[in-house]
Amino acid sequence: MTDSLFPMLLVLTMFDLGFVQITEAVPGTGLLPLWLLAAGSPWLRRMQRYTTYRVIWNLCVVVVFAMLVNHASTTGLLHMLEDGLLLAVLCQVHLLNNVSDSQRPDLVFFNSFLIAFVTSFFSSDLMWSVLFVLHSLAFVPALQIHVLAQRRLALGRRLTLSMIRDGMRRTVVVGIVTAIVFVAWPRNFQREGWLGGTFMLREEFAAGLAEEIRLDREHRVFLSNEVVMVVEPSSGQAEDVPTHWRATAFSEFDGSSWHPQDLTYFGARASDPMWERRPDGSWDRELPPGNGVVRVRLIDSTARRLICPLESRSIRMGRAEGLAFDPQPYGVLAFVQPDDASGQPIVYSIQLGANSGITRASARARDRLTSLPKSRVPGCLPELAARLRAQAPPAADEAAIARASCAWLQQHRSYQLPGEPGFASDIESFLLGTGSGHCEYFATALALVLRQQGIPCRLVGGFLAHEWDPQMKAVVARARHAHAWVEALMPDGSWITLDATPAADVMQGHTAHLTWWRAITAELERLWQEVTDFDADKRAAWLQRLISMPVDHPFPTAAVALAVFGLFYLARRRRQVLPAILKLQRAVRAAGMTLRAGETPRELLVRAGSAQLTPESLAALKTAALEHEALRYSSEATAEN
Amino acid sequence: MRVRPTTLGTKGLLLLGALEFTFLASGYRNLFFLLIAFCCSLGGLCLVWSVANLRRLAARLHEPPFAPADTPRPLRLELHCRKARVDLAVELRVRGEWTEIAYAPTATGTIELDAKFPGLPRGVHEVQGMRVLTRFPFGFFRARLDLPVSATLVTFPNPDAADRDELGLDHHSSSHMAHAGQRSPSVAGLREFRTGDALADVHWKASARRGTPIVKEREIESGTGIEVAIDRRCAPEALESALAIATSVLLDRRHDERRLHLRSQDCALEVGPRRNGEAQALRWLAAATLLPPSAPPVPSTSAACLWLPARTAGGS
Repeated sequence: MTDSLFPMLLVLTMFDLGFVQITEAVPGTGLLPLWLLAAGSPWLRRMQRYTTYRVIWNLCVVVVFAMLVNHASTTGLLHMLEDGLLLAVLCQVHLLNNVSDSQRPDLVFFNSFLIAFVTSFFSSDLMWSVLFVLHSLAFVPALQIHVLAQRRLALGRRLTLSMIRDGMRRTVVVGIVTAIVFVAWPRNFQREGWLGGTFMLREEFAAGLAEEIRLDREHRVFLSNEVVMVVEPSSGQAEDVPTHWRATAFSEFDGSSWHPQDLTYFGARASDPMWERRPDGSWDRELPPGNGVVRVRLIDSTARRLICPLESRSIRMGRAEGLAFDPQPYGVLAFVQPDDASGQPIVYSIQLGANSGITRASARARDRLTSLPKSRVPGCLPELAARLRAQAPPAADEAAIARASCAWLQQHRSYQLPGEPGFASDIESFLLGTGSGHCEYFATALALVLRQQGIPCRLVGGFLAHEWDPQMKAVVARARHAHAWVEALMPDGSWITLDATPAADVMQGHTAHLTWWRAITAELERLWQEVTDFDADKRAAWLQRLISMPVDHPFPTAAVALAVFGLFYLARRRRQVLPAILKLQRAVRAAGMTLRAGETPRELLVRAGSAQLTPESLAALKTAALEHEALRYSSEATAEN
Repeated sequence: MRVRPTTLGTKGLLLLGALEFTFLASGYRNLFFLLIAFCCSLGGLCLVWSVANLRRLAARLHEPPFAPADTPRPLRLELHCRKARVDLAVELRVRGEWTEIAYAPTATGTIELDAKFPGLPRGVHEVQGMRVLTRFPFGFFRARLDLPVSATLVTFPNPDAADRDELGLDHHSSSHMAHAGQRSPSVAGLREFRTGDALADVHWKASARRGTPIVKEREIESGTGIEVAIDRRCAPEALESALAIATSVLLDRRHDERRLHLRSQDCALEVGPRRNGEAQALRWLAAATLLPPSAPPVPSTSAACLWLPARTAGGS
């Protein structure tokens, strides 16, 4: 690594640290030593020649490596990845400080790219994309300087800056080609891969639907922007789309985890209005008729259920080849075979009812829906439940009590994602208010409070659909919109939906910390989501748009084509004109003069002497004219003529 | 034009292969595809730009100067390109091996490069090829452009390599021979002073009259000079030493411009004043080969001839 290349590699390493920092694989200021070592590398690397320096570095890396291996082997897969990232960035800083002039820095480049690559699994949000663009703008010029620096020549400031500028231009070209490949390259967006489910590393930690809700997990979740489903209301109005879309229900809580509703038990004793299949393939159930119809495109069918709201009355299948469904007692249609989905989006229409319908539930089933865990019941629960009951009017019905409890939690408990500072260590600390929690904590707290007051309820997992896309006129539900809430069973057999999670927090999610520049970042996020959500339909639309552009918008297309051609022509012409001539032309223009036909620069200079020109203009004109003369009448030019 | 991956490029291809394998092994993700598209675009454009960096590039090797054996030879090279080019390395193929002779970090228009070719053994070596290489812009590929070249590298014996002991000469005999001639006493005329003229030849009166240094131009004595005879029916080492000494004599005479008669079995060369015939003599010395013992002797020469190797009593 030569001195010319070192600053570029330092910048790359800083970006690598930035990549790791945004993943929060290392909490808080854990990366600070590496930041300092990287920032101090211009001075530290001067000590490379001392064996002691190198030995200390290598020993430190070995010790940290051993510690990370030990940590990873005792804490699970997620930490193994985090530790791997930390090790990679440590090696990057180590290389930066220790690769000598005689050693090739190839590994620094590859390691840098790998860090950017791996962090995309952890954090594929806007920040990552911005960092990646900046990283590329440094990566490509660094490669160019590396090519020249291998000769160990003193490149000089001018050549280095020229290479950086050239590299940035090339990066833009690489970016454009990448974008074209990304849009145009035909591919299967639903491909599972050779390893199928065994390579679900990221999904394991991503926010999304789970078959079981565990409150004792403390790891940070990753908020994926991948689209799960798109809901288009027939009215074209966002408010006609229900917000809570159900996928599964949990009725058993053991103190730390929620388990799915026991189908054998509840199937016989309690059931939502059951779905019945009609001869035309549609599914209906007994609900009072409503007046809304929504069309659903289920893109991610890994939940293996048709996701629908509580008020669903009728489901008509659109595109769902070869799928068979098994109605569940909690009102959801599950796939008969877990791997039924072909990978293609499932399309269906839902006719909405007026309410949830009447649920058939025996007394024993109601008892089960009010049961609390035999152990690990939070000690503060009875007191909190009693306090909330006391705040409600004495004559309040169960629905009013439930809604009051829900409102109290919304107002008095704060929202936080797991892994962030202040997150509650368990449900008791959340109930006490000493820690914040996410939707599962709010739903669990509400369910426990309701059950403590004898109100039967269950916890429901699904999606909070609230992101309106004005272009598509549809509501988009993403993996990060996975949500948990509570459904309480009223004495008349109807279910009411109770969402104790503060709505604003859930909807803002991880963007809650944004300030005045939110409008800009929101637009950038929207653009970035276009990339992360790109699918076959969007690809077809883009290609169609590009192909039909000359027909649909002939004048703008022609204008753009002419502009491109003109720029190309001008650039080509400019390249053919020698710099000295360009300089003379500029100087003549700046002096407010014009070169007459047949007039030589020297004649112009004489004329300029008698004109009223500023001394600066005259000096610039003189310099340019002399340079032009030197070029024009040099021995080479004369020989050519 | 040919292109092949460099070490960095090979490593990059392996990394891309690993990423591609992981991409295919795992479920489809837009971001994963985007990164692979970025890598492929980077590699593909590197290939295109490497080739473009050598397009319409021309190079001309100026007539290489003669150089003594095992001594680096300075060369002049002219590169011509219409647009700016970066990272150009020029290589020559001599004796079956490619050797880099010059490197230009950047080039625009026509540029002259000072090149250097490493030392060669004695001989007349034909330049078998010339090529320009570049790894620009990203160093993943090395593009190569073969260019036509027609030149020979004449490498005459290195005078410093002469082994006088082996030839039976004392250490001063050759220089004695080289300096045996006298300056001609007859003056042919006057002329203006040129660099290198002896101070003794300055005609002071004429200089004072004309206001510029004037020297006496002496007649070149055709009858005087040095005669060197090389009998190539000898051992290889002896021949090399003989050629080295002959070269030494030849180069020494540049100072006084005496004639040199170089004779061998199939050679009768005369090097006159102003280096007339010197190139031919050096070329012969570079190319001279051994002869079998049955070969004819060197034709008769004058008594003052310097015999190389030294003749022993009764020798032919």
